[in-house]
Amino acid sequence: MRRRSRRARSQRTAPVRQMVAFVLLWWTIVSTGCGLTAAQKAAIGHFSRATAAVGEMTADELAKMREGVIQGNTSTLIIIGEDRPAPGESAKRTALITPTTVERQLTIENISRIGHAAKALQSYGELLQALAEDTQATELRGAAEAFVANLKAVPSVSLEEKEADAITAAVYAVGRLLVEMKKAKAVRAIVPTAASHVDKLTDLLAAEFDPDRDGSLGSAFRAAANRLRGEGAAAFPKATTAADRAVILPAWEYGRMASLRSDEIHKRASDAVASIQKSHRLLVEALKTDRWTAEDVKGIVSEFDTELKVLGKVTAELLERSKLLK
Amino acid sequence: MADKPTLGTSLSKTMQELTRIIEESDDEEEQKKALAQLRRAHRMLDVLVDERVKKNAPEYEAATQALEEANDALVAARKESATFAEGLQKVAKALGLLAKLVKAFG
Repeated sequence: MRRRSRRARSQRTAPVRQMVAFVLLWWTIVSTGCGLTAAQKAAIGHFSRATAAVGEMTADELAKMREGVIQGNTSTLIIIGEDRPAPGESAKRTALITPTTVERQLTIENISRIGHAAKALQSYGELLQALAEDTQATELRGAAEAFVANLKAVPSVSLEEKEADAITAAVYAVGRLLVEMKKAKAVRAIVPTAASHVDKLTDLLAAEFDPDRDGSLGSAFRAAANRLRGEGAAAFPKATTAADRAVILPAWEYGRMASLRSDEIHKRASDAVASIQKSHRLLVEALKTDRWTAEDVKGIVSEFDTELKVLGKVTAELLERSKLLK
Repeated sequence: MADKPTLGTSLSKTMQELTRIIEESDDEEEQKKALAQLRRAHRMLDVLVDERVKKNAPEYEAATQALEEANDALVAARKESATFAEGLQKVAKALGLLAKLVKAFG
């Protein structure tokens, strides 16, 4: 039996290994259609931008609303002395302004609860975006190169440079495929599950800031501002001393500024939260259909530029060898 | 057909209108009546806010907890994405060790 040289064995098995790497690489690149589409990534980006800063904005504005209500009700009490129901009025005692209840419903506990909710919403947007952007490309390239370099170092393994390149490219592409598939699977599972809770939370938050909504903290703030304005406007003409007027006039003005804040800022805050809900609903819809476009194909071609060049070389070589075999 | 105004929105609008009357009127009697109504409307609106805050508290908590679970799932998904590269690095290291062993004892 003739002993075959290692070089001859390598020459006969090289096309087989190239074919395997070729098929694997081609399949994985084409199969990256299992990942998120460009439209889905764009919807994630849009939602993430909408939620950016909602946590801080909510906490800041609630703190200002609390301060405004405390200041407003304190000034009202200073002007009127005591809040009493009118004769025949069946007002609840808890509805009266007293020195220990000037904060009314804007307690630390209540505003912390709402602030915590807004922060969870902001984090959700940030984490979705971070997941969508995380490709592990650098880590995978390094790992694929290390794998093939160490494979070549094993004495019984003989790899030509082209084969090593093809295997590196195939391993990288398989890794990227797995990352994209896992990401897409996670997003398609998590977003629809979170949808009803995002809707609920954004409904609650949007209503909270809207001064025209029943029982909202925004309406409580505006009511305190209008009450102060009314008490100040009624008390000012009756003030008999400069000292009295020095108390009433700034309080009245504070009430007017607070009303303006309610009209200008709170309504806008409410609208900003409503737009978060809208963008999440668009994201949920985008995830229902995987519409691959020319933009998606361009993205794949751009990302797998190196791998496609390797593919091209491997293809050309296989075709050349197949001509020689005829 | 326009939505019927709710009690809260009616009270809110009423308070705004009464405030305007008090600030703009020169008639002391008119001011006094408007102020009495303003105070009453404020107290009624305050009761509505109280009721709503109590009703919303558990809803906020439930929705926040659900979103925090979604956030935990997103963090876990990101960690899982890193497992292939990490696994491959481990295999690469094992191959490197194998190569050294074979050379040493070969």
